[in-house]
Amino acid sequence: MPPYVVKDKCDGCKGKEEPLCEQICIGDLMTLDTETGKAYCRSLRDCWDCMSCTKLCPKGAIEQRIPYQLGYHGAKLIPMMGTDSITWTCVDINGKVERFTYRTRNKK
Amino acid sequence: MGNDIKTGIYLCTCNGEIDKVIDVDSLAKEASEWPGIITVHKDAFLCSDDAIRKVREDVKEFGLDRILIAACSPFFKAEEFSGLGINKYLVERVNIREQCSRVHSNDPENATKKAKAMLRVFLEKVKYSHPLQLLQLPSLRSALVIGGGVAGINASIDIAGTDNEVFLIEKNPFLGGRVAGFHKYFPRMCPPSCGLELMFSKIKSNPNVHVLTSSEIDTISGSPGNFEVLIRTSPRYVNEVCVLCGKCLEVCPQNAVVYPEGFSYPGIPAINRELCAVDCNKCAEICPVDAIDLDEDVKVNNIKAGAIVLATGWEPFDPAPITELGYGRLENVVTNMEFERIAKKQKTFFDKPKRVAFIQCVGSRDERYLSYCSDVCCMVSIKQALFLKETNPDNEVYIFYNDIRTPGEYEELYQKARKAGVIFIKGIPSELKQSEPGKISFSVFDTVAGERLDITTDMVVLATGMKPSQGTIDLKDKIGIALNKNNFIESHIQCYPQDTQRNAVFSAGCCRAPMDVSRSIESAGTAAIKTLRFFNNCIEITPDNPIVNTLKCDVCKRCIEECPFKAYFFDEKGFPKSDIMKCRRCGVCMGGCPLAAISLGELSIEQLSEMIDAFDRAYLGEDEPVILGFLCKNDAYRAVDDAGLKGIKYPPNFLGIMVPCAGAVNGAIIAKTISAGVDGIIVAGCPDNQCHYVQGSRLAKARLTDISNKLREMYLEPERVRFISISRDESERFTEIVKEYVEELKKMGRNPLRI
Amino acid sequence: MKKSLPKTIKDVEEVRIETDLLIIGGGNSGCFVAIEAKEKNPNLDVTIMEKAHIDRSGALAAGMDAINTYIGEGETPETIVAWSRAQVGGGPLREDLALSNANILNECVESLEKWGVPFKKDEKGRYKRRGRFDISIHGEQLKPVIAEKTKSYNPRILNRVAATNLIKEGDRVVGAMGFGIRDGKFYVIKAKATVVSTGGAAGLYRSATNDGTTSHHQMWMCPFNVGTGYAMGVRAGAEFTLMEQRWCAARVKDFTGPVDTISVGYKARMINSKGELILQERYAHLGGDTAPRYIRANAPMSEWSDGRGPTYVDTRHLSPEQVKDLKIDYLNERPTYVLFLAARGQDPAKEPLEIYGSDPYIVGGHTASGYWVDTDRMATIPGLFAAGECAGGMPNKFVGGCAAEGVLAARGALKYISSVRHGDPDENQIAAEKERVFFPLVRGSGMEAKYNIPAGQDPRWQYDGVTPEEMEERFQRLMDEYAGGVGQFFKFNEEQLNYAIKHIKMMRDQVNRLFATDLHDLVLVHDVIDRLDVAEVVVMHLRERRETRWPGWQTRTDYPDVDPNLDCFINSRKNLKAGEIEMIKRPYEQILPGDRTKAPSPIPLSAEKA
Repeated sequence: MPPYVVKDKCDGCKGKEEPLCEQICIGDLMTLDTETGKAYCRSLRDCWDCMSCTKLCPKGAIEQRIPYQLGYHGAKLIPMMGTDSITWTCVDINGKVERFTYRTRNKK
Repeated sequence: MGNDIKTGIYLCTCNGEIDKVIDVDSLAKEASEWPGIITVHKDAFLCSDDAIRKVREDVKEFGLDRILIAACSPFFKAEEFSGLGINKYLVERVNIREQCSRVHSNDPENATKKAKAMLRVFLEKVKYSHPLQLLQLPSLRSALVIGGGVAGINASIDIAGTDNEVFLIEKNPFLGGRVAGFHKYFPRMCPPSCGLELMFSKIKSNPNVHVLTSSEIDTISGSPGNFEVLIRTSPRYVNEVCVLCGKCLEVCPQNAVVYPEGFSYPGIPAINRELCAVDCNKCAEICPVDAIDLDEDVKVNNIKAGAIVLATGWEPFDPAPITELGYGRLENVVTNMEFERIAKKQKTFFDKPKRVAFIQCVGSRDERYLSYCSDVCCMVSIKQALFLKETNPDNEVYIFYNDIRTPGEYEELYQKARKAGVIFIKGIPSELKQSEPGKISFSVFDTVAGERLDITTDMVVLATGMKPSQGTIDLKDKIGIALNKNNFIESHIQCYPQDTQRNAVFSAGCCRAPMDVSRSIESAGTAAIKTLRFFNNCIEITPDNPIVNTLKCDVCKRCIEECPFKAYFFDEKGFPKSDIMKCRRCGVCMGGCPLAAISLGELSIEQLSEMIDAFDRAYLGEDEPVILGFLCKNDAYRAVDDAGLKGIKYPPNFLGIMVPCAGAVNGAIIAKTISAGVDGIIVAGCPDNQCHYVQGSRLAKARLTDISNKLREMYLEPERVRFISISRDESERFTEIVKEYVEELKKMGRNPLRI
Repeated sequence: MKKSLPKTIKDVEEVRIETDLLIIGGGNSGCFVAIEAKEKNPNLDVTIMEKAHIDRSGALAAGMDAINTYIGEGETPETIVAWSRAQVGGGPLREDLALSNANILNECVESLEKWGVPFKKDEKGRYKRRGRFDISIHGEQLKPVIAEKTKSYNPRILNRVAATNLIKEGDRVVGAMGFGIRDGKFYVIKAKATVVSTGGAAGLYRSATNDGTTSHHQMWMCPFNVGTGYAMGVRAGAEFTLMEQRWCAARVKDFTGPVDTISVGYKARMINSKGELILQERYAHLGGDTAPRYIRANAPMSEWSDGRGPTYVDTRHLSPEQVKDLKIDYLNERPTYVLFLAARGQDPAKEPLEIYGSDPYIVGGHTASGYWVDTDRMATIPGLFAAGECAGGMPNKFVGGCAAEGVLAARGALKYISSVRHGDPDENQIAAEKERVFFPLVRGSGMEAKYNIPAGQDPRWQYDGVTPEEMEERFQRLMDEYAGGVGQFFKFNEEQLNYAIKHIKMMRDQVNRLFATDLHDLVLVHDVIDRLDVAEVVVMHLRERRETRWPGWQTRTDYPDVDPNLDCFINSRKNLKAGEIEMIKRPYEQILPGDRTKAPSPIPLSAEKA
């Protein structure tokens, strides 16, 4: 499921050499476009949709979209990272909204 | 962690003030059953000597690890509650008076519920506190003064005069700055040689001052109290053996010898090697005492300084771009600085009476060039006009102005000029033309008389303004100081004019703003005092500066980028680390880290996480919305306290937590709070231009906008998270905001994540 | 950082490192190797070569929702080994390896909870069991937790460094070589012991939905695990086992994501388009719902090919609570499956979820393919160890077992390290590898733009060469059609396999036509080279096993029955002089007595609620 970087939200991680998404991508796919100073996925077909980039982006600028080969347009899956929990929001093509929250780290 | 910690809870009733609203007894009873609570004690005056003694005894008897004081605001009685027999960082204050009983007195039942929720939250916070110990880091008692003009010289005299070392560096071969080039300076109209000579003698006679002329800063590293500075000194080619015989000046074919004036310091010539003819050695050959070495090399010195005073001065505005004024194009159009130089040389100025026009505000108060007023130009023109009148009363002198700004006693000089016959006309000339050789003509609309005036003059003096010097701009990155939008040094003008955004770096004179000589000297004195105070305070540091969790850190460098005080450096492993001396503990780094990997010593991400877990989001019952507020300690928290002092009521649905700065609140904490089902979140900071940490408020606002947008995409109401800016005196506004917000949340319904 | 590319091999900078223990692959088992090694010997110099970034790399990138090997109440290491044996139809498997793993399994799993991963608990506070040996976790942070623990011991972690080959000195492995994906440098790492833990091999076959413009990597296994660890071992002449035991599983259709979550965790049974309970109907004699894995894997394919498709797991009995839990499980492992359902407007409580077979993978964590190792996890070449999915002979390791493998490999390596010195490898070998690694990049930077390609199109089409994507596509289709991919319902015969071998060899001969125009492309080039080497071994193994022991994993249409003479390990080793793969048979050694196809369960499955 390829990640799409929303132009208006991405700040290229303040123009550092490697934005966070580039640092974490398990397939070496996310990278900085030096001309626009924004990140992009260099090969949408090669993404394995682990969503590490989406979770990590400090501006929430990455949208995970499902290939049309697999599913219809307009569904969304949005992770919101808490310190030790995560909340997912899923919206289906009929507009139905579901939310899931659970702990991801034990108390210390 | 957690349950083997022994905590004591102390509840103050403030002699009825608190418990007339809050049922302190029921609080005490419930709290005593919480895990880890060893003792709960209620007192009418918890700040009294007797009560404090009891707490200290409890600490010994029960071996208490943590103490919760539920009483007035943490800003009251801080002294009393810091001597409880355990490290003061293991004591947490719960503000059940200013932020509970006094503001919810119309709703005792819910006030009590809120107090209970507050106790639970802060109990969790204190469990995770660390016993921090103060460190003492002395500063080196030496100051680096950059700039040898009037301000720099006076700062050096003041600092060295109290037995501290001073390194005064100046990029030109002579001290004195621009004042040395003046003819006279106001208000007393003394020649600069007089004042400067006195200053120089003070420097000469104080062995604590080390003067380095022809020198510039290469690099500055280290931290407040311990700066390391690399200074590059260009060769002068003449040394102190020189007896000032003047032979080198006579013999030089290129005019390359810069000869000192009578009062100059150092009183030795310098050679401008760039002007020398190839292979010419005439000066070195003729010098009777061998004081000239034309092969002298650049020297690099490494000095250590505890504090830095910036006195890098100003530059005159170049009026050439204002083409209608004809500078550089028309004969006899000069700037005010050029007038000084001419006046210095030609005491009588003109051989016969002439007409001279001064045009004010050249470049200044002009959106195209300098948007500010350059402070001194009106007085300068009056000084120069008076001089013209003194040399020959038949000189006709006009001053064309927008406003005449001669505050305080300078008004007398304005009157004197008028009495002397100087004609002041309110109107700024249009295009200057060369009507005949040596003469300049123009029209001007006299706005007071209401008529047009055509005039031809023998000379026009353009009263050009002050620009910040290139030296200031060059030092910006070397020292890491901030410049304001006009490129003068950024400072907190009304309260701390001499401070910069860096600890132990101060400013003196015109590098901060246009000012005249007397104000420059005053500001130098202030900078000196700040420097001395810095030396004197064995710098007491709490090691609560932020720590980066290197196991999580991905070195995205956002913390380095966003720190308002440039306090981050890279450690040996390449991870960001905060400099304990530069850091001001604002927590902007903690708020911005995308991995929530940074924590302050006094407030960690884990603490905030646990506090949110402990926050009972239904503390007023399942149907009431609750708002958690993160309040900056400088303005917002105080404003909320003030509502308590004034007794202004607001709904108990709001519970506040103090943070160092609005910028310290991390997005993951907000995410966790929303996910925990809290209905509304307020992050409150100082108004943008008043943020004590420069950009904390602005960053908080931007981050919260991002979070709101994310909530919108998640089909949650974006209004559930909001940033408000609150000034210290805006308590009423705050209470209005809370009231409206509670109503809004009631209409919105509960947070859908509140399962 | 966009580096300028080298014009010649000489332009390439080298980084030389000497370390005690080199771990290739910083995934689940690789991290456990590092942690155990440092625990036992804090002064050991440990280096991890990691192709991506250790915080999220490998198959655990999105997380995990369950640990599928944990010995709960009433079970013992012996019962789990017996179960594992039965799941592969009685073997073959290395019972010695399986027992050594099972003995330390629980403590490895429990350490995950200690380090912060939330484990679901039942009302009594015990780990909540969703299957006989499966427990549920909220593992979205599983990899970051393991990575943080690893980092706390301060090993030298080389992120974005891809390993390409082992260094040999005589008959010993003395380290490995690779290249920096960001810095473009050639890495030569000398080590006293080298552990290969690069995970399994995905992308050997065409996946069912890889024809979509943006869904090329739609597969169950992590597509960035290409089998480099296996390939390096093949090229070094190590012995491999059971490479014919491919993991072809039933997966949710199109998305090709995990289905065990649903079928095991929520007791959703397999049905076909007619509503028949497939396993009951056709495989009752093999155990029905508890039939061996390969039966469950193959069942949907048979239904489809016999015209009774589509096939589903029936989730219509789930309560809304259970649907929510089911989605949370997926969010912890393959979150976009929830997006997939949302993008089709599907509610599991109303419609059953489609399943289908996946493309075959070589994963030693699920089946028993991999290096032939001893109980110290040392391969047949001294100095070389295999951990996790790379270690062969033991199926059904999953996350917990691979973690335990890491611990065991660390112990084996430490024992070995204490008795050896650093090797002194021949510089010619290193120079030859440097040439081999960077040749495609140097070639790419020096190619002439021959063809007209307008701006805005992929500039690589200007050059007269072969792009790695083209070779990968050809190769994946070749395997799918001729070596029993999902497109062929996993079936193949001898002639097809011979065809596959022939064309794999032809492609291998043409790898010098591959070119790379940046470092990312260079990764893709080596990915395809490594896959070719692994695939060749796989096909040779498939050919050698002339029987059908595990239909689905290995279905020979020309030898459809079990041959009792092949109740043994089929192994292989590349003869380095001849350059050909040699096949070897090794006997099965039974340690646990009893019927190998049965795994008596002390706790009846049906009594356990999801």
